[in-house]
Amino acid sequence: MTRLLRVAAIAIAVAGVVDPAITMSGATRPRLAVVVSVAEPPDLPLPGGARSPAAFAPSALRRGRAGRVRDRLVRSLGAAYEIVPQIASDTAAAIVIGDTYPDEPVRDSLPVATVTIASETGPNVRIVRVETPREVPAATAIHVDVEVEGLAVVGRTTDVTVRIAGLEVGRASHRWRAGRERWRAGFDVVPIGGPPWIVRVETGSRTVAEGEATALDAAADAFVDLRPNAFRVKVYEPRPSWATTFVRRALEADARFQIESVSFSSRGIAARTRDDVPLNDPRIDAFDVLIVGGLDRLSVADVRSLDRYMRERRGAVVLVPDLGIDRWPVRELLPVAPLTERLLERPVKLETTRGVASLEVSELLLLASPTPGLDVVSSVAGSDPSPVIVSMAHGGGRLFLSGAMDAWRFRAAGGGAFDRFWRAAIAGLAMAAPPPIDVSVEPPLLRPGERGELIVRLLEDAAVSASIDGDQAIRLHPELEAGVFRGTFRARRTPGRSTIEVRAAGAERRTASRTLLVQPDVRRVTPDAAPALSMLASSHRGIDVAPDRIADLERFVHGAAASPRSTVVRHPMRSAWWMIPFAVCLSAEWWMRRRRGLR
Amino acid sequence: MSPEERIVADVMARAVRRSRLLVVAEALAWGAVAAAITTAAGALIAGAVAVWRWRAVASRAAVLRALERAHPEARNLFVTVDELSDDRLIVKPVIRHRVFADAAATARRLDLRTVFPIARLVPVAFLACVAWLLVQSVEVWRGALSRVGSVALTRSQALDSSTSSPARMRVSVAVQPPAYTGLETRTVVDPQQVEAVEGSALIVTVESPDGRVTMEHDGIAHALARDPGGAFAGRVQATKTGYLLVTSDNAPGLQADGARGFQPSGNPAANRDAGARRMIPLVVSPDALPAVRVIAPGRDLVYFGGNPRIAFEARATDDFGLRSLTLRYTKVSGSGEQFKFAEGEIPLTVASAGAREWMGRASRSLADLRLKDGDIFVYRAVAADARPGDGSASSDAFFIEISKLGGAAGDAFTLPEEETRYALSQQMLIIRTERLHQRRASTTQGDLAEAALNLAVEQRMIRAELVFMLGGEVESEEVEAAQSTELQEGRLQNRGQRDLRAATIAMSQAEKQLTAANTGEALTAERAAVAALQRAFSRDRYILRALATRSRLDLARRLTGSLSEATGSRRYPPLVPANRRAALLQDLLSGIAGLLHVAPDEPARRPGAFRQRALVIAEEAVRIEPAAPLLRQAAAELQRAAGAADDPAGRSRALTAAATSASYEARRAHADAALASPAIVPALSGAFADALASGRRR
Repeated sequence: MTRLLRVAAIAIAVAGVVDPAITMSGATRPRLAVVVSVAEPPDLPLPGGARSPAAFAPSALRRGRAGRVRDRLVRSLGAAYEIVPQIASDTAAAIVIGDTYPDEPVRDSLPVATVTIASETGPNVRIVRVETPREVPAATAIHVDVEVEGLAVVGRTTDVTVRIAGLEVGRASHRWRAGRERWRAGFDVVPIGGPPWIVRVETGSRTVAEGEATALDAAADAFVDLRPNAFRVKVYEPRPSWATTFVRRALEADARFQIESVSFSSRGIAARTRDDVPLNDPRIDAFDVLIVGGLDRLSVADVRSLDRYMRERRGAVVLVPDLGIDRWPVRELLPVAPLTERLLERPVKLETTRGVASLEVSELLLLASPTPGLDVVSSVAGSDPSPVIVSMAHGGGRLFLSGAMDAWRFRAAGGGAFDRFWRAAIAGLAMAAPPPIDVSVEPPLLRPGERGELIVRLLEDAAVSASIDGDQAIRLHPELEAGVFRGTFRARRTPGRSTIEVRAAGAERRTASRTLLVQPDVRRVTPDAAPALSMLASSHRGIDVAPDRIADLERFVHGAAASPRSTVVRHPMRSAWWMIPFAVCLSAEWWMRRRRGLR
Repeated sequence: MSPEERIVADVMARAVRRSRLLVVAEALAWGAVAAAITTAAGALIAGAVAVWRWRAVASRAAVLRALERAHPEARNLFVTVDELSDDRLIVKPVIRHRVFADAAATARRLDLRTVFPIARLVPVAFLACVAWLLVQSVEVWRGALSRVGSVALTRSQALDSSTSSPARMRVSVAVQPPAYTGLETRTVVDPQQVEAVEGSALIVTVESPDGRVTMEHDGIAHALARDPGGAFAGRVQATKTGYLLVTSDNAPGLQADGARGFQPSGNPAANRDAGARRMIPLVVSPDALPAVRVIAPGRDLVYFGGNPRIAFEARATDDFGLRSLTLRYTKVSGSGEQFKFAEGEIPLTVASAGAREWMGRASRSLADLRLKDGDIFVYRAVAADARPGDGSASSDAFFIEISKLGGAAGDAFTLPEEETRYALSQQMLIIRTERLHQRRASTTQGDLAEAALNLAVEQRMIRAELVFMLGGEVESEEVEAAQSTELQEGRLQNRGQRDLRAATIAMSQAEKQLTAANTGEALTAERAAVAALQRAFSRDRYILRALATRSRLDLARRLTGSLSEATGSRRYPPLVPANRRAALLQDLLSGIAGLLHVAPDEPARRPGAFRQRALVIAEEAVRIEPAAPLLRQAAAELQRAAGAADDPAGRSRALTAAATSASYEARRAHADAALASPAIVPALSGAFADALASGRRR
C-alpha cells in the first residue's frame, strides 16, 4: 500500500512536470444576451406645461412585465444557452425586452430579437404625424398628410378633420380593425383668408367621451406660409419636341410659373425668350427647375451642365424623352437599368400613388421595377407595375424622368389631367429646390415666450446674420454640414406675428425673411420617445414579438444561435487541485510507515 | 206593408247607404293619394276605385252577403226576405209574416258600424296624409340632401319668408318667355333663384314700405318706379346667367375689409335702420340650335353613270320648335383652276311629329340634279328654329361623285397635298419593305437587320412629320395654342382624328417590327397605317385641294434656298393673369368662417349686423360667378342664415351648408397641390444614389 501511494505521488509530480495537453471535441453553449430596456414615458406637450401620463403605463410596471418575460426566457433557453444580462462582443445573439434601444452598442452582425412591451395601456387614438408644405404659392391647394395611430380601439370609427381659420376644409373617417394600427390620410385643402395659414388636424371631439385615456394627442397644428416668388423654370430643347412643348404650354398658362425657354430648330437658330441663359452659364442657378426635351440632341457638355446644376445648385432636372434614350449621352444621368420601350394598341391611364392626376399614354419608356432609390410617381397598372414616371436623388438635387412619351397627345383627356399633372409635378420639384437662403424655424409655431431654433441653409459661402423683429439679433453657429447655421431665440411674450430676417454677404448680398406666428393654444404632435424597438430587430435580421408570442421568439433564437461543435485543448495538470491528492498520497504513505515503526 | 216589413226595409236601406258612403270615401282617399302627384291622376284613381268598389261592396246583393257574413245565425234570412220583397219568391202569407218577423227581430240586433266598419278607411287616409306630407316638405328634405355634393338648383324655389326674407320686402318676378317658345308666363314670389329661357323678359315687382328701391342686374343698377298699385316695378331682359340685387333705399353700403371679411360700413345707428337687400341668382338657359342630320343616304356615293334615283331623308329636332328644314347643296364641276360652283336648295316634304321634331324627305335622280361625269354634289341638311334672327344649324356634309374612271370617292376633294404625300410615303415604305421581305431568304442576318433598321428610321420620320403636320408648325405654335380648345374638344371626338391616331399607332408598331427585323409583321402594320390614313382623309368632309391631281411638286427644289438670312427668333410667353377667382373664393370662405365664429348655440350678438354681413357675403358669392350652381347654392344658404340670425341651430346649419358649397367651388378653382418630394435629407439621398450607382459600375 505504501508503495502504491508513493507511486501515485510520484506520478502526479511527473505529470505536473510533463504538463500533457488533451484535445476534446463536442458542442458548446452559445452565449445569449437577454437585455431589459425600458424607457421613461414621453413628455406630453400641454398648454401651460402640465403633464398627464395617464395614458402610459408607469415604467416600473413595464419593467416588471419585462422582467417576467426575461425569467420565462431564462427558464426555457437556459439549458441550451449561456444567458448573460448584457450584450458583449462574444454573444451569439441577443434578445431585447422593453420599449427602447439598449444603452450598450449593438454590432451590425449580431442577430437581435425584440419583445416590445407596449408603453400605452390605451384605448387611445393619437396623431403621429402631420405633414404640410412649408409654403405654397397663391391659388394652390395645400396637401396635408396625416398619420394616426389607434391603440385598443378595434371597431371604433375615428373622424379626422382638417380646419383652417376655424372652417372645416377636409374630413376622412377610418374604422379601426387591429389592436395597434396606423392609418394615413391625405387631404388637399383650400387655404382660407390671408397667409400664413394654420392647419389644425383633429381626431374628433368624441375622443374622451369614448373612454380614451387622453385627448391631449387628438389635435395638432401645422404652419403653412405663402410662397411669394413664382417658380422659375427653364425649358431647354436642343431640337423641337412636342413632348416638352406641351409641358411648357401647360406651365405658361399658369401664373405661378415664370418660364424661360430655348428651342433650337437648326444649328445656331433658336426661338428663345428674353431672359433665357445657356445651360453652362452660372446664371442658370437662378432657376428652380430645368425641363429638357429632345434628349437625343443633348451633348455631353449639356449633360455635364445638368449634372453640375443638380449637384451644386441642388435644383431639379426634368427629362421628357420622346424616344428611347439608351444610346445618347443623357443616359449617363440615369443610374437605372436599361429602359424598355413599349407601344400599346390603346392608351392606358397610368396609376399614381401620390394623389396627382393620371396621365394617359400609349408610348411608354419603362424602368425596371426593383431599382433602389427610385421614387415612383406613376406606373403601368396591372400585374406588371413597371415604373413610368420616376424621380430620384441626384447629388443634392432631383432628377425627374417621364417615360410617358406621348402623353401630350391625350392632353385633353381626364379634364386636363396632362396640364394638372405637370403643374403639380413641377411645382413640387421647384418647392424642393432650396433657395439661396433657406430659413426655417423649429418648431414652426411657438407659444408666447417659448424658445425656438432658427436654421439657416446657404447655397454658397457667405457671412450670415439674423434678427427677429428687426431689433433682436440672433446668434448663429455654423454646423458641421457646410453652409448650415443654427441659432436659438425666444418668441415674443404676447400672441402675434414676428418676422425673422436673415442677411448673407457673399458674392452678392442677399436677404430672406420668415414670418413667425406666436399663439397660446398651439397643439403639436406628440413625439415618439424613441424609435420603435421593432426597428432594432428588423435592422439586425431579427423578429419583434409581443409578450404573448415568446414561442416564436424561442424558435427564432434556436435558428439564429445554434450550439456549434468545437474542439478544445485542455491541460488538466495545470489545476491547483492536484496538490490535494499529491499531499494526501505523501501524508498517507508517511503515516502508514510510522504505524509500522518505520522511519 | 207590415211593421216588420218596414223595419227590415229600413235596415236594408241604411246598410246600403252606409256601404256606398264608405265606398265613396275610400275612392276619395285613394284619389287623394294619387293627387299628391297630379290632380288628373287623383281623379282617375278615385273614379276607378269607386267603380270597382261599388260593384264589389256597395251593390244590394253585396250588402246582403255582408249582412249574412256578419250574422251567420240568420241562415240566409236576409236573402229570403229580399227575394220575398221582390216577389221572386211566392209563399203563403203566414210563412211570409213569420219570415219578416224573424228578419225584423234579427235586424233590430244588427250593428251596421260593425258590419261596415269605418276602420277600413284609416290606412288609406293615413297613406294620403303621408303622401301629401312628403310633397309639401319636399323642399326641406331635398335641400338637406343637396347640401352634400354639388347639386344645381333645378327650379325656382321660394325662400321661406319667415327665415330668409325680411318681412318688409316682397319680391315677385314674372318670367315672360319669348313668344316663339310657346311657354306661358309664370310668376314666382321671393324666389331663391329665377330660371328663364334666353330672351325672356323679367318683370320684377317689389312691395316695400321704403321710399326707394333699386335693382341691380349684372352690375348695372337702376331705381324702380312705383306703379299705380304702390309697388315698385322694373323690367329686365334675361340674356345670360347673372343675378338680380334688389335693395331698399336705406340699405347701407358694405365693404370688404381685408382679413376681417365683410363689415357693415357707416355708423351702428345706420346699420340698425338698414334697408332690405335681396340677392336673386338668375339662371338663363340658352335656346339650343336645332339638331339635324342626314339619315339617307347618310354616306358618300360614287356613280359611274346611269340615272339612279336618290332618296334624301333628314331629321331635325329642337328644344322649342322648328321653323324650316331644307337640303342645301353645292355642285362642283371642273378641275384645277377651272372649278365652277353652283349652290342650290332642294325642298323637303316635311312630316312633322310635333313642332319640335321634323322629318323631311325628297327624291331626285342624277338627271334631276344635272350631274355629269366629273361633277361632285355636296349636300347637307339645314334646319332653323323659330327664334328671331338666324337660328339655323346644318348637318354633316356628304357628297355624290360621278366618275366613269371609278376613282376613289372624293379624290379631288379629299386632303391637302401634304397629307397625300405622307400617305404616298407610307405606300413607298410598304413597297420597299415588301422587296426586303422577298429578299429575306437570300440576305444575311446582318444585312437584313441593317436594311430593316434603315426602314424603321424612315418609318419614324414619316410618323414624326405626320404628327408635326397635324399638330401645326413650330413657328405658328401660338396659333395652335390658341386653338387648343377646339383641338381638344372637337378634333379628338372626330372620327377622322381617331383614324389619324390609329395611323400613327400603326406606324409606331411598324417601326418596332422593323427594328426587330420582322418584315412580315411590319408590312401588316404599315398597310394598316395606310388604310387608316385613307379613312381619315376621305370621310365626312371635303377640303378643296390646292393643286390639281396631275400636278407634280418639284422636289428637286427642296432645301435649295439660301440660309444666310436664317436667324433665330424671340418668343414672348403669353401673359397670364393671376387666379383672381381663387382669391375671391378664399375671401368668401373667410367671410363665412367669420360668420361661424359666433358659437352655434348662442344667438348672434348683433343680429342686425350679422344679417347684413351674411347678405353681403351672399351677394359676393353670386357676383363671383353667377353661373356656378354651387355658388348660387352658397348664396341661398347665406340668405337663409341671414334670416335665421336669431335661431342658432338654423343659422349654423345654413352656414355649414354654405361653407360646404363654397369649399367645393374653391377647391375646383385652386390648382392641385404640389407633388410632395419624398427626399427627407436630399444630400444624403443623393450620396446614397451615387453609392448605388458606383456599386453597379463595379
